[in-house]
Amino acid sequence: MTYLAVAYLGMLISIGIWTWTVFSRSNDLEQRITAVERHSPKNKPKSVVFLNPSSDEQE
Amino acid sequence: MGNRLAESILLLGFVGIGATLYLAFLKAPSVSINAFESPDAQRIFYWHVPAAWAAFIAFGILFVGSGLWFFNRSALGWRMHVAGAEAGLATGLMTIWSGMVWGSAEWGVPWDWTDVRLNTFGLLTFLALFLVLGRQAQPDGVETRDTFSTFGLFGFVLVPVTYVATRLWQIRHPGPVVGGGESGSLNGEMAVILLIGAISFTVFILGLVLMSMRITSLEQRLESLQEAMDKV
Repeated sequence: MTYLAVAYLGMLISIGIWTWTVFSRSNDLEQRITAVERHSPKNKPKSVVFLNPSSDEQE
Repeated sequence: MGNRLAESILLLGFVGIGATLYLAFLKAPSVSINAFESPDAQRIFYWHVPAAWAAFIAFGILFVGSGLWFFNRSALGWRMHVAGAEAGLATGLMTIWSGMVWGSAEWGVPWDWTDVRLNTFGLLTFLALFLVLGRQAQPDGVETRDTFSTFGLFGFVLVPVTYVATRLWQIRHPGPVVGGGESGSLNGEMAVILLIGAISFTVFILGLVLMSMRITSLEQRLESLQEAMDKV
């Protein structure tokens, strides 16, 4: 009976680890996509050009 | 939303499998000591049979996905192929492990190389292992996908062979307990626990396939984002 209990627990733990791996792979990819999108040039704010009033006057 | 649904289905299946183990170990009726060498080990049947059932579902998904990719170039088909291979590997290993534990107790050996059912199912699991490891080792592309899809399509022939193996060439593996005529009858309580196991494993495999398809989709999205950034 002991070996059977060990085998059952081993199977349950293995399947639990597999399930956890699936969750962590999904979360890891989501975080990496968020990070890439944050640094994507498309998402960077457009630069604002401040004109120097004095330069206008010189022209 | 879809992600949360897939996660919930997977967790529900996992809890169901845990409940099946509890029922099998502590609530299922004992079998006759005259019928089995190791009656206690027979309880592994409530895990082994549903795991094999779930493996057949996974290999079915692998077959359909391989066909959709190979003949229609369907992106959904490729995701189903990847998910079917991963789910087939997980459930195939569960089936083999539980079978080997039972074989050790009942037969005195974990594996019988002369038994057709054992060997065809072992080949199926090996096919899933090859597809999972092969995909990780190769760069993604049409040729790679075509090659692995071909294996998914032709490898499926092992599923019906495995199913009928104990009917045509029964060597050591027991015959069918469901749909196997009078020799495969189960009493009511046993049948209920087996049904709970089958439902739990089906829910688990469904959640696993949905999650795996989502992971493949995320991998492809990440790759296209990185390619777009490289071009800038």
